[in-house]
Amino acid sequence: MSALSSKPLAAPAAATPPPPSRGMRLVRAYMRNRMALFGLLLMLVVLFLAVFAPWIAPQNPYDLKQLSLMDARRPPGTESMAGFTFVLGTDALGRDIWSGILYGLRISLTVAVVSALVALTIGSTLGLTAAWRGGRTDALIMRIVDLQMSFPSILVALILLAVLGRGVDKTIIALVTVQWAYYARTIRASAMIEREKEYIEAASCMRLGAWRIMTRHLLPNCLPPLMVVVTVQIAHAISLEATLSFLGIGLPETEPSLGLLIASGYAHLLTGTYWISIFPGIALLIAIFAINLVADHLRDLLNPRLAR
Amino acid sequence: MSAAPGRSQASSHRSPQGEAPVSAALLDVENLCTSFFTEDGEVRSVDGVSLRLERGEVLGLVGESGSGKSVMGLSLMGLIDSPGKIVAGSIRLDGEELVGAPEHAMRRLRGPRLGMIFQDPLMSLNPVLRIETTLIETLMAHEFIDSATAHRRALAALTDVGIPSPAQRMRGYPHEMSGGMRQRVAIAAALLPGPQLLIADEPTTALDVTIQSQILHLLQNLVAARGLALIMISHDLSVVASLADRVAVMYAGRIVESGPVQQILSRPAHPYTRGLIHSAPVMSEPGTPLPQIRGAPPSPLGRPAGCAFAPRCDRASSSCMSMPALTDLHIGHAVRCWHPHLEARLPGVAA
Amino acid sequence: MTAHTEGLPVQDVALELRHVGKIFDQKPDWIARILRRLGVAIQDYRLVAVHDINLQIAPGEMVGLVGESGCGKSTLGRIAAGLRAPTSGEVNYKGVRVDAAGTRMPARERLKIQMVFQDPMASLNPRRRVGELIAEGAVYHGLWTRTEAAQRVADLLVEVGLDPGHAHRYPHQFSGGQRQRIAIAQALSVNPDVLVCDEPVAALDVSIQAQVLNLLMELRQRRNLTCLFISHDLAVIRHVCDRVAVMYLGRIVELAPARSIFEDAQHPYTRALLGEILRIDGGRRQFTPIQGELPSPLNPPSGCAFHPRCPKASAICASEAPPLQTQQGGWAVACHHPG
Repeated sequence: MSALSSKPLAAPAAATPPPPSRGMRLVRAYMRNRMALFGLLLMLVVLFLAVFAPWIAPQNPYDLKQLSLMDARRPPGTESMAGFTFVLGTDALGRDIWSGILYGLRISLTVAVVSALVALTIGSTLGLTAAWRGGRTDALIMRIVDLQMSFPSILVALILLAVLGRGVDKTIIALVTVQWAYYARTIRASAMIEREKEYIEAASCMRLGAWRIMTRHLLPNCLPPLMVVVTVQIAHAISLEATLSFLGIGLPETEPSLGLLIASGYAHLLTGTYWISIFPGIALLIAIFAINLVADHLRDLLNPRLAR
Repeated sequence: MSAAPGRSQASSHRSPQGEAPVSAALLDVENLCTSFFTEDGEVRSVDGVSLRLERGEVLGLVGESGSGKSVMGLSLMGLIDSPGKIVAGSIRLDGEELVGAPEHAMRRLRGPRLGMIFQDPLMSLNPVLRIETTLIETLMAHEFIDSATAHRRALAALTDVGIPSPAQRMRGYPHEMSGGMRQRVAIAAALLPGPQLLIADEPTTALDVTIQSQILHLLQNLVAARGLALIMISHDLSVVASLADRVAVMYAGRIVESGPVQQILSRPAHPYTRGLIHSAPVMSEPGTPLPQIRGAPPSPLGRPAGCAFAPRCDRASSSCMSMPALTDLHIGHAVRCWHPHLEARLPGVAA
Repeated sequence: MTAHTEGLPVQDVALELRHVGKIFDQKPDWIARILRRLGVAIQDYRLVAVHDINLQIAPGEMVGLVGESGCGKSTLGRIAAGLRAPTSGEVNYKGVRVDAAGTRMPARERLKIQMVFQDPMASLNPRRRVGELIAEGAVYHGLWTRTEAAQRVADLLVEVGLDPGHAHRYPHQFSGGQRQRIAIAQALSVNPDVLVCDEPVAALDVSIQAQVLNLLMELRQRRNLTCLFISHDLAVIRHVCDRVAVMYLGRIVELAPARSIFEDAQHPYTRALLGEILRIDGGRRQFTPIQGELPSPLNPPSGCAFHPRCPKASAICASEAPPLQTQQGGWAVACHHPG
């Protein structure tokens, strides 16, 4: 045994490469699951189609100049006046269903993602504040959250849109109002646990301002469960928006979403022109399914990892 | 080397005169290897451990994080679940082979022959069940007795471990008791079916010093009264020093030194054991720098070839690139080192 | 309060706790209040974590705070560091009030008191690089400029015995002992005078504990730090501290020089604690543990809190709590039958 040596060690043993970061491990674990990969792939395809719709779609269905009433209610596979094939048929106004789906996905996804992000911001701020302040602030915010969540989302959205009218921005407002409470509650639960941890006390010891501690220390560590909520909520928002459009409120006819497409073909379902409703319906199903798959696996993966 | 499960062996060696065979040790572990197959590779937590335990003997298993001592305890109980697996070696309890034994055979053994208590007594006690349910359930799972008898025995067991007003406590829940009392109940639950061997994995680490003393006192009494064999797993040499007959020091999945406790503590041969003893604050003059072992225990993933302690050892040489075997220094005192200390250690400073 | 600090002008006492008390109580909510009006017996939740603590620490001194769980030492440590507000009393740093309940000191001055926590896994933000964590406080308060931060971080890492090239790594890429060193570096980054260490080595491997204790002793010497060292391990405290305060159920029951407390403990609880210490060379022992359980702070015994377990208890012990009385030689005991 060496003589009394109190010299601190010079360097840690050998230049071992650092273990992979948490993010890398997560990605690797995700890739290992076939179902999860499939879901991710599907979601990426949907995203791709939605983003590049104007370039992929053979026709812009909202450009009235491109439409021709002669093409109305043509079955799938018919040739159009302009020369391309209506792969999935046309609707009552002569619009190509395939193009309609692509543009519809675009609108649906945009509305869903934007509303989810805005709800995330508002919900996180309120949830974090509630967790950090505790006491009356917490009680007040949580009661509002409870109130919000006790109303069925459809009802709230309906009433709001009845008051606000139709439009993309108004739909987003309605969706945000319906969603923010989930984010607030989730982040508050996370934050209440993290708040007691010693690294937050260390930050308080450094006398950093409350806002800085909340955003730079608390928030990043509360993100994992939020990621799951965001993904699930996007799917939920798509479905909610489709419902609202189906009912004839929310998005205007000039920017129809999948819901509106389904609605427009609803009356014709039993008379043989099934393609107007069915195909947008299937597209909607696939989009929501893909996002839910991804969200599910994300949740499973993040759960055991949450225990540090 | 291994007997078929269920068939006990009369002995594993004969005495020199060829007379009636001497009875085998209670527990005979030979070259046990337990690995965990994780996404980062195979982690060999226990890497060739052999030990013997006689009836009524107390063995202290000492080690730090990454030494494999807890995995050793779980391996003995057959509680290693996927992705872990006992990959080699044999464990013989009274001649009966445990490695590879089917789960129903292990269930017959766990309880009546083998018991285990953990650092957190809530690992033994279901927090949503009453104490009496946990105790009686254990008993009735192993023996054909009626619930009244089981209840009586459970009550007796609680009294044995020193729980005041046991009848009242039986009806209560684990969360209504303090940590020390919960550990006593866990001990009662483990000893109720009357095992021959108890494995205690850091039972007092989470307890206060005064309660720790009580629990160790209790274990000491139980061992004496029942002829119980005890494997005491701990990171604390002083806990082991106060209770054990023999000590085995583990480092990086292997036993590096083993022998009678007094021998090991007064003449530690392995540099690691010596370093552990000397770095304890009681051993130095207050205010002076403590003798320390440099570096840190190797992670189970990145173990060096050869002697695992070599990077931290002042006596390391080129021969330490190959793994030394566990060799006997004196009778019963074995050490795994190319350069063991042969002299007695520095005496500790009087309190 | 003790020989060390008697006669010292107020501003030279590095850290003073005066009549510090902390009570956690939960006022009954409106349902409970209604039930109470109706005659249902609702118990008030009232936990006296810390009661009337008086302690003065001289500059450069290392005082140990020892006790078992529930004695309030962690709470007291946090009150001393300014993380929790005391319900009564005050904490003074060089004569100026710094406790969270009533300080008027600007944040930058309060940086002089820092804390090192027990669990190295939890005391570093897992999502930030260690270099950023160490530099954050100093940069935020303007003690370092951004340009010099990298160099200062490297210097600190070397000072605590780590490789300065690892500043860009994340906490989970270090071992427990290394993380504790990083936590110490973080505390030192703002040049504190007072360091409160809450069980800094309890969560570390035995072979690493000596390393970190040596580091703390060396740093204290080099930087002339004043320390409040909280631990449950009397052996460690005796080794590193100048004086020891023994706590039981929220009160200090004995305050004595560390070297002599092992031989001459006056309070029965301290004696019992010393008796419980297991020695490596003590051999097989006959345990003589103290009977009884630690009482719950929610329901403390009357009079002297230790009397149900005390071999010397008498009638007065059950009725009257003994005050902490200073004796000669810098000793103080709270007992009706000391010695």
